[in-house]
Amino acid sequence: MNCIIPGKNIKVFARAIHSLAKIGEELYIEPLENGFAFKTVNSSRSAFGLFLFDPRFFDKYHRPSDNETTFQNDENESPRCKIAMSSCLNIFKSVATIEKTVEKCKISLNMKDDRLVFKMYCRHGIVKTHNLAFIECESLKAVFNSDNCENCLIAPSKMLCEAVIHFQNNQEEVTLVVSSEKISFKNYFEEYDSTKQMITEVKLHLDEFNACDIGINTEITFCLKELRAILSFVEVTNLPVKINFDTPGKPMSYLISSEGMLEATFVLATLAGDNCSNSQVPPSARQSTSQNKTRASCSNKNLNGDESILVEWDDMTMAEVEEMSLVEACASRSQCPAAPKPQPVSKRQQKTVSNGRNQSKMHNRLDKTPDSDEDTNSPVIAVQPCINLLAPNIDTDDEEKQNSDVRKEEEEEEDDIIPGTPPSKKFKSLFFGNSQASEASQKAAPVVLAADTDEDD
Amino acid sequence: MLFVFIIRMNGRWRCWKLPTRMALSTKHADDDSQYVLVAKMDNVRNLANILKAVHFKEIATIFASDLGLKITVEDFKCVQANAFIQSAVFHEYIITEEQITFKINLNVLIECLTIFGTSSLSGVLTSLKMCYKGYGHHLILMLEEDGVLTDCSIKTMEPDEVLDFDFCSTNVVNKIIMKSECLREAFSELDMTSNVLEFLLSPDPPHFRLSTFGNAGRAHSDFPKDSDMIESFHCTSTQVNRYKISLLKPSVKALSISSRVSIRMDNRGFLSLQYMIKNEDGQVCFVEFYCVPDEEEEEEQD
Repeated sequence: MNCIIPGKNIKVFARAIHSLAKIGEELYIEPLENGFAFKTVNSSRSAFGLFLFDPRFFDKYHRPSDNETTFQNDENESPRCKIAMSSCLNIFKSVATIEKTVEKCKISLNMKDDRLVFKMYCRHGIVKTHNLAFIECESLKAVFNSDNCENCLIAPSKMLCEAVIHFQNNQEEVTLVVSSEKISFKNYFEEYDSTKQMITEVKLHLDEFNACDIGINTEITFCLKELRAILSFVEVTNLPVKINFDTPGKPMSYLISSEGMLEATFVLATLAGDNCSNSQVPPSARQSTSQNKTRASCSNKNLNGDESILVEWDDMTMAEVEEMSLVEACASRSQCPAAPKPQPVSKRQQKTVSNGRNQSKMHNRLDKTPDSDEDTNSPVIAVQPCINLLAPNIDTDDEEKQNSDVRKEEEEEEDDIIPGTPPSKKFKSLFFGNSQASEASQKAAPVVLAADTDEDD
Repeated sequence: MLFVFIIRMNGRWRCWKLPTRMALSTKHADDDSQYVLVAKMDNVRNLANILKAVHFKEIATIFASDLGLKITVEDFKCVQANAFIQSAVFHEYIITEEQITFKINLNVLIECLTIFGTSSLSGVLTSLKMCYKGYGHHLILMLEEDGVLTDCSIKTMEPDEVLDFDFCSTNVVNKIIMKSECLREAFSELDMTSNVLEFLLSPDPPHFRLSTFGNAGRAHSDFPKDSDMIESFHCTSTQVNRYKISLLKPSVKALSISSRVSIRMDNRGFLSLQYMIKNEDGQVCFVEFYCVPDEEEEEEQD
């Protein structure tokens, strides 16, 4: 592998790396015949980003198979590897000045020392070489087909950036509401409290978009952080964004392409059905219906044959669904000041729920074993696993961090004894929910449970 | 009429007098003779900026002689910074003894020198008069800005022996003088997960190489000798030495305000970095850093 990025393109490349760094902690690198792919996936696997740089983007683009003399030991296959995002980011740290200082950048693979080499040829004849350790891994793919999507928007980058700027920095999720009359972004709250939170809705005219193809009216909720990551790239490159999406719970995709230069694809998970529809309804209003609603939506989806949601809910045992809905009911009751607080009961429930969540986390880890990519249609972006012994270790670290965070949250929750408070991050627990399927099918589950490092924390 | 404010701040007495322009000239004209050192300067930032460049430890040793002031700061007995302020930088510099040495708290000294603020935007200059009566006395600073006067009195301390790196120009094996700009850039991009920074100086390519060995892997920057950033290149033999990044880091402050840097390595592998710093009046001051190399055994212990 050997490619050279010319100075005029270095800034775009650096921006792409920065954008991916906002999503994931590892950078997957894959030289393909139709271009050089840089990919990442976030730690909860709810977001995936891919930049495919066209061979014409480079001054020179050689895959190993084209260059057999130099890479005799690796002529049959193009190398796929991943590197730590932070180390790559360090190379392209100064985006503002990189265009002025770097004349060209050469990326090559040093098979002798097993290093990925970034060589920056700067002005004044200065050469900076970065030899990065990498981990060989399988290809990373998001199983997603944008052709089946009902809705498609093509938006100018400037408009999207201006729309998103109105949301506060700590806003985690936003809802995109589309109908044939209007399109709007609004902030999403898991628990809406009219005394503390402010609803922001940014309405957009249909004619502000380059194209609108709306098959079904829908409201989808997704993480703002990843959208911001995408926009950080398009803001500078000024390229229009094509957004494909469907019903809540199904992934949405963002496509950015520049003819003969690059093609970027981002896939984001969206929040599953019932949560979205009543996003702005105060809990007290939800109280009476929530229990039935959960079940109703569950069966509804079954009837519709909506596969992705089916998988989602199928994974949970019925008992768990009940548990969830119970907790939700409790939550809404506890938030309503008039309602009596059923303390002892809810405390017990609290515990069962947190146990359930822990299990799902563990299974998520278990999911990374090679034979577990069965449920490819869930809102979680199915990622083809890495078959490297080192890889799970690294992943475990992230997960452990996350787990310990979650645990902390749980402990706090338990300490405070807020009766029936639902899991603070239902969004995430929904994603992890999909791995419950493996619980039923895999006998090995209890063994993993015992080995969980969580208890050591 | 004279307003006097006396304020005790951080354990030191400070006094503000208003208006004082006249008071300054009449009061001090006659009793300068009691001081062994009197130095005046129109723009106190010229002094403050240089002191900040070596400000990586609290305590500094100040040497005053006919030539000017030398401020020495040391750390871990491994790194030493010297700031030189020639007597010409002061518009009046009177010293009655051959050499005066005292230790002083550099935090306090810099704080006092910048008591009117550090902004250069206002266009108003702060003038300084610095006096020292001799061994055992306080260092007296009088700062004036726009008719407002501050008197500061800072305790001095018994001087200790400072390290003698015995860095002699005859023992220098390799020497490079280059513009600070590109070294500044290289330093800012250093992989800080690395413990050491390796300097390679050689008459053969790659001539001058800086390497780090961090978590992510090796990284190095090469500066060819014919680069227009390199002004002088005198390397006689290849030397590769490693220095602790934590020891070199303090020199970044000086690097950031310097215009040229001289990199020298002697036969023992000791490193000298000399920074040429132009002050606001176009005068040249020097700040130099000495650093000992990292021994191989030490590194294994890490």
